[in-house]
Amino acid sequence: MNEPPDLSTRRAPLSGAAALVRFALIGVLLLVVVGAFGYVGGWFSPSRLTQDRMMDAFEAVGGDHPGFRRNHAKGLCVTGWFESNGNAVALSKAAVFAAGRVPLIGRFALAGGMPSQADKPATVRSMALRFLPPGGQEWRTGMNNIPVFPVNSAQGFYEQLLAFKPDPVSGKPDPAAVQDFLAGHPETARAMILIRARAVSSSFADSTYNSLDAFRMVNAAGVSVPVRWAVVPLQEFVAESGAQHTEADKNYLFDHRLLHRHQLRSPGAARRHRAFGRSAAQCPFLGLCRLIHVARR
Amino acid sequence: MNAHQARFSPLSRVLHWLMALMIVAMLFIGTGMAASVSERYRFLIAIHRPLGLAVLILVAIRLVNRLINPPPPLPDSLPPLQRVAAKASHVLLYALMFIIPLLGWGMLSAAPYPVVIYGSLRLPPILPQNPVLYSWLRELHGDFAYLLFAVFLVHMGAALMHGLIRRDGVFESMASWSRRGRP
Repeated sequence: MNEPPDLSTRRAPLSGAAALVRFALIGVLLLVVVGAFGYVGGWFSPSRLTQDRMMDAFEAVGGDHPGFRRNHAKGLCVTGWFESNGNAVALSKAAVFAAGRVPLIGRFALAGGMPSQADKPATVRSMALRFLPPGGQEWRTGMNNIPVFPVNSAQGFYEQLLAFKPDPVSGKPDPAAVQDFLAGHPETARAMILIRARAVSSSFADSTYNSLDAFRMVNAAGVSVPVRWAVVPLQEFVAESGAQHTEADKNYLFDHRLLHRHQLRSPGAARRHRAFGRSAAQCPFLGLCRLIHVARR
Repeated sequence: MNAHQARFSPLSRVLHWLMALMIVAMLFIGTGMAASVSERYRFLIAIHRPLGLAVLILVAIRLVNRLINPPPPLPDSLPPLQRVAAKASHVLLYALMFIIPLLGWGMLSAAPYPVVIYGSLRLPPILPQNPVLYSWLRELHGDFAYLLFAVFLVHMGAALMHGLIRRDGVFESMASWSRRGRP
């Protein structure tokens, strides 16, 4: 189906030098597009922190453990519910704080990337919760049994991970690397004083777990207040005893200590803290915890 | 026959340029997102999901439109091998425009993460919860996106070749807006 040549809209195809120049131009344009794409994707920024580089750091420090989480690898899941008492409605319009019962899935774990690490009292313990209110929303929180988190950014966490990597022979981190890291992160030096001063409990069940980040609760009137979460056990705190250090059972925290041996106490009135509800797990081990917010100090 | 008849229909042209902008944006957002942490990541993924849904809806409309308003024929001067390449690359483009957003929807369903479009507007899951399935779909979503970027480069390079070197009206069939289809 040949169309009659229309000289006002068609020209003969270019050839020779003119074509070559235009080929080159097209090539340059394509290269520019590829370059821009590569720049955005971090191909030319080896020091930019990406998800892949964070995962590489975990594997460099903790080894490769397919099928396990890269951090908080050793842990146990639980199911339960959160009985919201509606106290937070005045502070937040988030649906999860409306009075009522919200099913949840949780996980207790030890910090670090080695799923077979031995349980030790000083190892940071974590409690993660996944609230599943009706309507398909999800709320997730990760909390640790330390008063503050040692770093204030993902970049800081990455640097800390690498700086504290234990030497394979001595089992301890390189002091020069640690020194360098702390020099660049004064916030970590301050945080570690608070972390070291904490009292460590004997089990998962009587630990207090605090959120890493602060969040803003915004109520229906638009007023915002900063909060951090804490899950506070209702059973009595029992300090970890020295005898546990010689515990032969590498999993003593998970095996024995999760089963709480204390009578459940009724919750006393909180002074500075406001309780938003109670959560319970269907395993006997957890007992009752109170989800609270801690007013800004 | 006049030159201006050898053009895509107005709807075809609008869909092409609108989706070209959206898809190139998505490719850049996607590769940037996968190489970001913290605030920047959250900002990019909040755009990536609704824009991906929009691409999926538009490509369905576009496929129906292509059946109703077929593309103008390629010029006779085009060698047979290039005709085959042109046809194949367009089949591939349409396939990728469907598959990539579906993989995104599927991977979130399998994770499972709520498929948040905006605020409380969510899509239902289209796959059961399965972490292994999630990891496969996540992998494929990225791989196919890079393939789409490559095909886009070929597509753009070929379009410019038609426009700047072959000068056979193919570029104008999509890239003109006047009635006479000036090159």
